[in-house]
Amino acid sequence: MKGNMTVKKLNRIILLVLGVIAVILPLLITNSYRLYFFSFVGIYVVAASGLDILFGYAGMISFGHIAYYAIGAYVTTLLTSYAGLPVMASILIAAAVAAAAGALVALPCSKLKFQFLALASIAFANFIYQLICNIEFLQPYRGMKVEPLSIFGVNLNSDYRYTYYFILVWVVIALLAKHMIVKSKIGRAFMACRDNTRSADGMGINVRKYKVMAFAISTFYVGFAGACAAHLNELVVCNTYVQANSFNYVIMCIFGGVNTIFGPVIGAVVFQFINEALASATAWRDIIFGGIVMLFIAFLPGGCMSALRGLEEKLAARFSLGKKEAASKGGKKDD
Amino acid sequence: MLKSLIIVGLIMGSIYGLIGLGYSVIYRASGIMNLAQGELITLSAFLGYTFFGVCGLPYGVALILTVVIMFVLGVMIQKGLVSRYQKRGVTGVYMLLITFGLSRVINGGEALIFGSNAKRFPSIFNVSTVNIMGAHLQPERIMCLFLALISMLLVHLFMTRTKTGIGMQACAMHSKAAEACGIDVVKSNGLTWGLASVVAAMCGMMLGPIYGVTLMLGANLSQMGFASSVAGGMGNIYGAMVGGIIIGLIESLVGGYVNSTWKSMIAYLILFLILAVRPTGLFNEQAVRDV
Amino acid sequence: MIKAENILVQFGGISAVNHVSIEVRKGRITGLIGPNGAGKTTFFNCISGVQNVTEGKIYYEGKDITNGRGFQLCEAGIARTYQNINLFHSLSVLDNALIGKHCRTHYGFFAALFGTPRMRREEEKAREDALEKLKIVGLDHKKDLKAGQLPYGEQRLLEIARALCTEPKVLLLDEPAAGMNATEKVVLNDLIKKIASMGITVLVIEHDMDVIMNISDYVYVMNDGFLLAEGKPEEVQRNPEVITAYLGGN
Repeated sequence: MKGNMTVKKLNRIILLVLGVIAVILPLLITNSYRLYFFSFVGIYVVAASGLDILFGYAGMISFGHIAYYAIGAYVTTLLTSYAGLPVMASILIAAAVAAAAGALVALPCSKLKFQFLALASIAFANFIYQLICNIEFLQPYRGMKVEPLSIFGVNLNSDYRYTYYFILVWVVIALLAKHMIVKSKIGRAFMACRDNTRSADGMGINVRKYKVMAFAISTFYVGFAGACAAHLNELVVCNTYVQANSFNYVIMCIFGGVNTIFGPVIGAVVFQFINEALASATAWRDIIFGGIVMLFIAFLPGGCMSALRGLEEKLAARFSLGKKEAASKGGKKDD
Repeated sequence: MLKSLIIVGLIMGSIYGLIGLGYSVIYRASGIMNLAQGELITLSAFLGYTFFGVCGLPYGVALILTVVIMFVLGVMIQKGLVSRYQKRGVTGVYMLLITFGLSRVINGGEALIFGSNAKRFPSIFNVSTVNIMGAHLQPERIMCLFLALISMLLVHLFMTRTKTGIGMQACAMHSKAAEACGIDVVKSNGLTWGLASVVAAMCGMMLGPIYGVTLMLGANLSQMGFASSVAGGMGNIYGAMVGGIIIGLIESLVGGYVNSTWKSMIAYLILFLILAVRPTGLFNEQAVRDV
Repeated sequence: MIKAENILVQFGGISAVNHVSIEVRKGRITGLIGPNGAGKTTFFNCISGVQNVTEGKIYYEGKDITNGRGFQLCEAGIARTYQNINLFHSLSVLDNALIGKHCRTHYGFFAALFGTPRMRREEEKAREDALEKLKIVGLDHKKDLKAGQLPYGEQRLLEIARALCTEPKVLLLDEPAAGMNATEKVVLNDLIKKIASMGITVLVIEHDMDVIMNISDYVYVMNDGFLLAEGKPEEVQRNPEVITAYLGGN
């Protein structure tokens, strides 16, 4: 038991340190491009967390989440530009529209085997991409101007520090919401469907309903991220939404560790750094990301989180000397 | 107009069908959807370009060289990678992700070796267009049709008439039982990947002259390929061909009568609808899991 | 409690269950025995909503539940275990039990999202009850282990605990003694009797005669998809047809 306590304590300390770093980051960095970059990392954290709900918890794969990212972006663009809605309200509506689209797709597709679900998601993402490219009104190639991120009429993008904090708050909300969902009976139902659909059905879980629900929640996150990204960039161009970009979220989840709260966070941050560092060497970037997927599945299927957990347990065992057997038993991390 | 659209559709359809065949062969033998198939096509096109366009070898020789290299590569992928992951107990969606990772690595490797600029595959024939029933066609496209049909026929004969091919089919149905009957399952699995890579090599050698050799060649066309194998019923070798022709015809007709920029959108929509409504495709195989 | 009338199940023209009628009386332990391949599990799957019947009707407390969906039947009070263990292997023992509490835990999506007092109350209640059910089968001290790490016999017990968590009125046990040794079987017998004494009606499938004769109040015998005999355990044991089916069949 004591080892378990120490792991928990260690978790709190790590979380606190990371939280403090995240909060004081804008004080350390003044370069506005870097702040913009970190805001984007936050957006990817939300999107990757969304995919993890579907992939890590409910056990369904999607190679087409970029479609919902696109839906979020274009819906909020149209709502703010043509209906004159306030940005925050429009982002939430856009996310809800993406969730509705996700649920509609999931209704027929959630019964598919994983390979076919993957193909269906690829087909859907390609369809949405082609659709966007073919609607003249959206000025797909030239790009469409989007209102800057703002709350109560204050333009946040005028100083990226504000943008950063805005995104940070939403990242925290998104992670908390994910924590609440996966710890509840809904999260347990997701995992039951993932592990064994037949006995989930036998235990009174409406498998179909929960699969659709997982899809909807997941696409809400991604739609939200897409909408925020549009307002952050102040421009939507169709090239952003090619189907192949969906794989980015999958890579983030695999790298960080699925079925955890902080795995996708680590994944998104590291992914963005590698992506940025190798922006001009796309061939190496492909090889590295492909290699990460192949090596992690072979040697570290739990992603970075499982490695961190192992490390923590070792540390905890060292802290509580003489209680070694207790320490090795208490492996389950709190969050 | 209609006649020429149908001819174009048939030609494209046969190519899609051949691409789809590569997916179907592996899916049938091991239940793995090989997302790297498209990159194998791209790689073959680059190899073909190197032998034919750069080294100046005759097309036939380039074709044979590419096919042999790709066969070896396919077997190597199975032995060195896929079977090792299978031994580690990697299954299901993670196997799908492995093939995705592999496709990224191959694509990056191609970019490093061949550069990211598009290459022009020199034309194989001296005439620039041939007129068949009102359709002006590149002779390369007509060659595609024949090569696709021949490859299909050869795969069919190999699978049904040779002892090795029948053994492979047996492994696909029930590997344990096949092993009990004295079939070398390990060898058979390797051959399956080799065969799929040979199909990819044929595709690459045919598509290169038509579309030019680019890094995106396989990625774009392979999606049409798996659309056809899904439409025909994943895992069904003949279904892939029929599915390919259906998709090719639809694409060509939509492009001709409605709007050419819509054609791939329609194709994806059809693929999505097939999966949503009738995931087993035209020729039944199991795609539905639960509830 | 459960009444199945004239159940016929065909797979492509072959009848796995051939016009079988049985009745499970409230508060009793009813046994269903037969050699392997007699159609017991198929019949069982019909009652628990896994398999659709070709013909016939199934009533539960007087209501027609023929071809109902599994999760609906579970909610109505019919719980089951599986012959080949179907646990959630990557989840902890406690989580497995908590999933059993799924349809007895009442709160919605937004309650979960905001962690309302109602949600906390319901979760606390579910947790206590799940622990209690684990205690009944004797697995409460292993609640944090992964279900897949348990030995085979304990996995069977966990299946029973999970089924009990759904607060069933009828519990269907599909070969609960399969793969258990003699000592484990004795524990299991006591457990089934204990469950019955809690007021839960039990229908148990076995091909092991000893187990079923020990615990059952009433026994049905199936062979080759047909109902061969029925009656009190002692009567059935003396039935010559049953003896032939069990001994003469092979």
